[in-house]
Amino acid sequence: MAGSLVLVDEYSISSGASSFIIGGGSAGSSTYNYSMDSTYNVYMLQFQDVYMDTDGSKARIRFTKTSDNSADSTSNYDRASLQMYTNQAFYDSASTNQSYIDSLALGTTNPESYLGTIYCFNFPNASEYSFITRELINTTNTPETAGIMGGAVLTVAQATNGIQFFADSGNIDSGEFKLYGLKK
Amino acid sequence: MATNLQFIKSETITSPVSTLDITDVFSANYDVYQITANGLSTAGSTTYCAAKLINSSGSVLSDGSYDDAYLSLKTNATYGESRNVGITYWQEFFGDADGGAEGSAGANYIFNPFNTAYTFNLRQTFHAQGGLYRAYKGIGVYKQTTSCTGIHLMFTELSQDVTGGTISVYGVK
Repeated sequence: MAGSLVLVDEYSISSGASSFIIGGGSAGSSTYNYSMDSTYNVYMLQFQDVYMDTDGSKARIRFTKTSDNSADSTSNYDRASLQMYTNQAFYDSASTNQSYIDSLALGTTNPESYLGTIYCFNFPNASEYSFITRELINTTNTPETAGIMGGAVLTVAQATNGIQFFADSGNIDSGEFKLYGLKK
Repeated sequence: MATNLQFIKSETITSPVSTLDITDVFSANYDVYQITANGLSTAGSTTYCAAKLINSSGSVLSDGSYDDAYLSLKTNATYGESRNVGITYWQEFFGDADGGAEGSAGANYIFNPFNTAYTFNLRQTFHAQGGLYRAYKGIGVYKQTTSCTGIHLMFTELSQDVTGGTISVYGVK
């Protein structure tokens, strides 16, 4: 039986950049030019080895708009997550009306990187908000290791087609990304 | 990895339903299943998306053998915990559906539904409901050794039908 996780985009960072896009149609950073569309109901992004060129900076995310493939930077992102630290009390982290979905600070080498899985829901549906759930493992520049679980929403009824990762300072120096559609 | 998730069945809701049976999806072929929901919505106000199991005779299992626990991660308020023992369904299995651009979605796992062991689930959902946004992370168990072949979704707690959405079931090899 054929598998139902269909690889639709993949990208490995070969040189640092302040931002890049997985999916996102013609704005995508790979050569696939894949746009998340209704071919699949649910998409899954797996990534690893994401670290920065500036110690303590963050790799934040936004969703890209199907209308023009650009990242939506409006202040309409809400998120909630549980951060499970190995060395301290767990921490509830949430925010509303942000212009991005935040992450923890990262370092400049693999041991201070993050990885995880993001599920994308409703992205192609122009009449629904775009949701994600995410499970991450993050070792910060401190270093502290935390598991992060939770979700986020872009409260704009529009079609979205990709995920932009961007640095709050400097560049993202490393990362490997694979985007899958779940066959329906 | 691409060969390890195998599509079994999908159901798309196109007209109002208070329940949805997804039958003949669990079998001896797999021990672990992923069940996804996307775009669960209503025509108006919110409804809870709960679940029960269906046995191999096609009967919905409604005895008080369901336990669950979940954390409600709220974007705008203190997080909440919910714990239930001996109830007749898994609460908010796919969160809370709602109308307009809101609604619910999730990617859950079900373990051992077909063999004669307890049936467990792991849940990871997100919903937008009445201007509130919640991620749920939870677990559930059905404490009987019944062989189950399907799942019964129920949207009846708040008397609001679900009018849209797609549920898909995959086997994990």
